[in-house]
Amino acid sequence: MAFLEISNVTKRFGGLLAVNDVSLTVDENQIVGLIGPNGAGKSTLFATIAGYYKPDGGSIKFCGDEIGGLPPEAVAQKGIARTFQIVRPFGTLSVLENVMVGAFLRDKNRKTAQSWAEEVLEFMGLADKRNAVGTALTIADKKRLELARAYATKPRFLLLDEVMAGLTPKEAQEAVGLIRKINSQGITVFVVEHVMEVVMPISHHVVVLDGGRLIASGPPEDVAQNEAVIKAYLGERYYAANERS
Amino acid sequence: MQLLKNKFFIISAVVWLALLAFPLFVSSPFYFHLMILIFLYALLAGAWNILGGYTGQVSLGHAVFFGIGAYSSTLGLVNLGINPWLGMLAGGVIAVIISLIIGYPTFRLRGHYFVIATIALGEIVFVLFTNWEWAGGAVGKTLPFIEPGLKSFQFGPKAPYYYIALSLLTIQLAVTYWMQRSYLGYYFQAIREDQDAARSLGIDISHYKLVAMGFSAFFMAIGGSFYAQYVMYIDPESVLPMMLSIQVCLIAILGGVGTIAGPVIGAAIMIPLAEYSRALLGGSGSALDLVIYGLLIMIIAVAKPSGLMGLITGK
Repeated sequence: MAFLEISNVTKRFGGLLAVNDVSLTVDENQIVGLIGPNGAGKSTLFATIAGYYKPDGGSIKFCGDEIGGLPPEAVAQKGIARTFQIVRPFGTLSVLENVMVGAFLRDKNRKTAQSWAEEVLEFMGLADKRNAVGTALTIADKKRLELARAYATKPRFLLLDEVMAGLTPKEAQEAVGLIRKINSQGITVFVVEHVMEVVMPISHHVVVLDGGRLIASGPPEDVAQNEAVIKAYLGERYYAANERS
Repeated sequence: MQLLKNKFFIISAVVWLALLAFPLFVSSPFYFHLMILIFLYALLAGAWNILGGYTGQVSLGHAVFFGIGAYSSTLGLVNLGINPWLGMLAGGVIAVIISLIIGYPTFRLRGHYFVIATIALGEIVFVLFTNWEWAGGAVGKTLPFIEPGLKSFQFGPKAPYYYIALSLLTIQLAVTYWMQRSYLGYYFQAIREDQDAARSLGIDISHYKLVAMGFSAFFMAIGGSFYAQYVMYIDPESVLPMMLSIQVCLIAILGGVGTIAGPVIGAAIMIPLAEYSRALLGGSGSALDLVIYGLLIMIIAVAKPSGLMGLITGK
């Protein structure tokens, strides 16, 4: 039984086929990268898995259970947490309180939820900012907070939507370290990115979307050499990145 | 933070003890009446605050629940011969049930559309009660005088009403305090801040909005029953007006939404303002309190959106 199995998922908005008959599987304990140019349907596929869109066709199975079409809260309860591309901290709550909201999913007791949230902040390197208000953080810390909040729900599967976007190279490297650290806790991670330099080295497996279709899938080095992928859109950027390093 | 919290507790305790002793030193019925009204409106604004302040679902139809409470105990007593205390509890339960029926469809609406829906509901219920003969219609219902005492919820002097209002307010504040510290308070605020982000963390927002609505409606109804027993006469104009819905909302906003003490502070300023302007200016000045309300709200909205509580906590 696959950890996450997406079969023939289609999502359309009016006449636009945003996700067109996509099938892919994600294995447990891996970091899987989902890449593709703007408008490829990455975010739509992502939001469909997380329950924000109902698929128009196909099925999404998580550990054998059909989750396609379930509302986001039910998906979260099943152990799938997500972050948002544009960060959305609960503005009037402190960093600690933000993370506690996530912690309450598995534990309604205030005291134990708080100590778990504090543990999460420590793990994420946010402990010294626990009393800051969510909106007062830097963009990098806000992204960290999003991660911490999602992590606090004790997910088995973490969906990260462009966590690197807007970060400086140094901050992006720290984020990569954090993702690896989360993955080493036995959490499967699904990363949506268009910054190749970050996705390629951390992913065990990469899937490529273009125009709503799956055009390649495999280990990063194979995908990087895939003619279709390079020619289609990714080529120059990735080569440039390789030459630099 | 801890220091501020301790200070808050000490101040609250001192104020509460002073309020307990108040009837020993004051005998003027006007001041009693004023204090009772402050307690009542603090209770109502606090009830509104659970849904509107903590959860961010601004309702301008909350008079409906106040009216349900007032009518439940009154009709229970006058038409069915039920003890008003029981009627008060029944009113709370009925208000919760009605609030869930109202909330289920309206909570699908977001932002302004929810507000508009609550205004419409308030008006519908007003018209229903105006035309419902069994409930007294537009004429209303006068409560009969029965043997005064705790059991009958009727008293000659004002002091017992004073203590009952203070007790009800205390219970409401205690429940709000418990709620704010439990996961419910966190969930309510998460829903207020960002509904989609809240859902991503496994919060069933429809469910928790209904929970907030239920608490809110219950305490509005309790306030309504108390009002009916205190004034001894109710009609749609006095217990279901749109103005009441707006007033409880304004009091909470003035004091500070999403805080425990905010509605109390708001009521302690607004109610004396209204009563004094009415007393000093008589009939010709009867609308002046509303003018002052309006001005105050404008000043608060521009200068301190977090309300007067914001001046204390520095947010």
